[in-house]
Amino acid sequence: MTEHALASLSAELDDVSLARSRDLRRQRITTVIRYTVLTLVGLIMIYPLVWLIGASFKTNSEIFANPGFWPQNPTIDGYIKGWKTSTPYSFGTFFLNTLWIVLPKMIGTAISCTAVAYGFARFEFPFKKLLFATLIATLLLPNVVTRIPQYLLFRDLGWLDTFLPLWVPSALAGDAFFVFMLVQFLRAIPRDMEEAARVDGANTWQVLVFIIIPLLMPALISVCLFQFMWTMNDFLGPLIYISSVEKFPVSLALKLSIDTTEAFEWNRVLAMSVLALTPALAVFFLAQKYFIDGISAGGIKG
Amino acid sequence: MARLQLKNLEKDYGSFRAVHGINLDVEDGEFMVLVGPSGCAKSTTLRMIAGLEQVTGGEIRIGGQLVNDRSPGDRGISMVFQNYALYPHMKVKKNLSFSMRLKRRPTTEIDAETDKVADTLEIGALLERLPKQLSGGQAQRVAVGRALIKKPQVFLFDEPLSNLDAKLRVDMRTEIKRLHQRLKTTIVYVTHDQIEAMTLASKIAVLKDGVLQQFGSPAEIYNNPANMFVADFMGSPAMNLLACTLEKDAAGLSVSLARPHGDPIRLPVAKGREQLEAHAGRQIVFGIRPEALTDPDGADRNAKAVAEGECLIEVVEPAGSDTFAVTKLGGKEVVARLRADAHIQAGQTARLAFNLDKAVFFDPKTQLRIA
Repeated sequence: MTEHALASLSAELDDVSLARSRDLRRQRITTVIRYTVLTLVGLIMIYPLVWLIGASFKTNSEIFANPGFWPQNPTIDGYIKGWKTSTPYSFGTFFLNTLWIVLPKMIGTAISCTAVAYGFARFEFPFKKLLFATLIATLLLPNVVTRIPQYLLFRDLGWLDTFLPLWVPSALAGDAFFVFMLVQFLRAIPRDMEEAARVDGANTWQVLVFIIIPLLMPALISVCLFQFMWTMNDFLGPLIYISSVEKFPVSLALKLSIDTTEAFEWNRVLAMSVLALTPALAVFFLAQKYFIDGISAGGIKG
Repeated sequence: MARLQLKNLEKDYGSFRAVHGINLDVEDGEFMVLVGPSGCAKSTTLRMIAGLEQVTGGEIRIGGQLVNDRSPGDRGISMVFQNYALYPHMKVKKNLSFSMRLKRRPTTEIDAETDKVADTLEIGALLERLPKQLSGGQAQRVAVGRALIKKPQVFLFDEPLSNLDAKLRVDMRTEIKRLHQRLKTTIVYVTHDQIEAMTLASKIAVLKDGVLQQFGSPAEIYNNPANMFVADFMGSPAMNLLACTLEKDAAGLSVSLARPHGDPIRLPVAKGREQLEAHAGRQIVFGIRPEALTDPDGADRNAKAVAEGECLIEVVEPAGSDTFAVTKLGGKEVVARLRADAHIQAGQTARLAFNLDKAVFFDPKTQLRIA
């Protein structure tokens, strides 16, 4: 009787271990499938970029002859000639121009949006709700609609072909999205710290500088990164307001080498495109941690 | 150190009046506790003293100076917040010295003061930590230290112990009291915990719905509550409040309380309560604290007016140091506080002694104390 029971028990145990190893195998197979599919899709998504980098090392004739991404006769000719451009200026000038547009704009945005968001999030003043609603409403306004009035305004101010039309709106908290983002972030920060600072003797600006801004830092880094990338990639703004080649940023300079004198030297265009990508990518990867913190953090642990 | 005076202090939120003309006079060096149930505007009152809320009407004077329109930093106050409100991006040292750094004091002075405060509160080892690396009790000490370093005229505490666990709360309570004994600074302390109020205060202000109910020493508040709310709110377990009729016969005034079994208990009113004469024959509320209702052996030997009666014990709750017994009198549950070793069992009748010297009487209509 007991032997029978033991035998059946060991048979059951065998069944269990068999079932478990079957489960394990199935799990492993689904994992392999899942990762294969993900890898494939990932490769498809990134292929244009890989091709771009590969093609920038090809000769101009090979770009259309060889559809693969690996250059047969790798050359940095595209980079050298692309850098020199057909204009009197090298790409270095255009990079500096971009930087000269981006940095003041970024700093202006950070300062102005923080001040405005602080006002909306922490103070009571007449017509606050109406003003905030107006600010949010401008978010929904298509950019194109304001282009012409803006252009006329800046023309009358005599700001055409300067960087001012690109800087000034941002330095006056013209980017409603950033203000909105900071207001939301500020609302999640408890007021106690600010009240403690006021009891400690800080005035409104000292509270902003010593308490709010450090607490806002993750959100501010996100704002700066967004502004950096969007301004780097902005094509329309410089196209409308900048007319002399010496002030062109990279985004305009890339187009410059396509349409005029150079008869479609594609490898140069591609090489410069690769270079144009690098600053944004580098900054993003360097600041990735803060960037994600800034977007996801709802508040501060108490 | 300074005297704090509130005169007819009022606060409106739109059409809602949160604080109804509070008058308080806190002497220099007193430990004043504002106590009341949640929503009684005790925190609002404190925040008005701090300058974090606008005053709608009335006056706040600190050291004789009218401070209504001064900013919080210029009032000579410092405040400990409920959740400590430490600056999360600054190390403990910077948290402590923030107020001094704002005033641009010399570094040597800042360091000396910080070290002194850190020594006082035994947080010297924490100076290089960030607030998130502190435990609740440590954060609490740092918050107190940040208030201390300002050398304020008045300390404000806004429910500072409510985020701590039970044991730590008792420890910190003692520590705050010790701190006050040493510094002798005027303190205003907000809490909803009446035990905290009783143990810490030299003066208690009881608030309800933005109205000051009573202002006095802990003993006054406890023994001579001004109205039924104060009687019920202060003390744990709460005072027994029983509706009954005040009778008058040849022997004098007395009240009768119905028992579930047997005749009502007749309790004579102690001498010296002449104010009650006018209420003879009317409904009144008889109040007696659990410790004035004991087993006969445990009754206060100095009491002049003690009445005894058999009561049916419904529930017995041993609490270690005492035993609480629940009986029913006048149709309501009544708690008696017996010695820990009292031989008493639920379901039995036991003889209880009423210390009528300690009894208080209220008018059920106005809720105010008669005698």
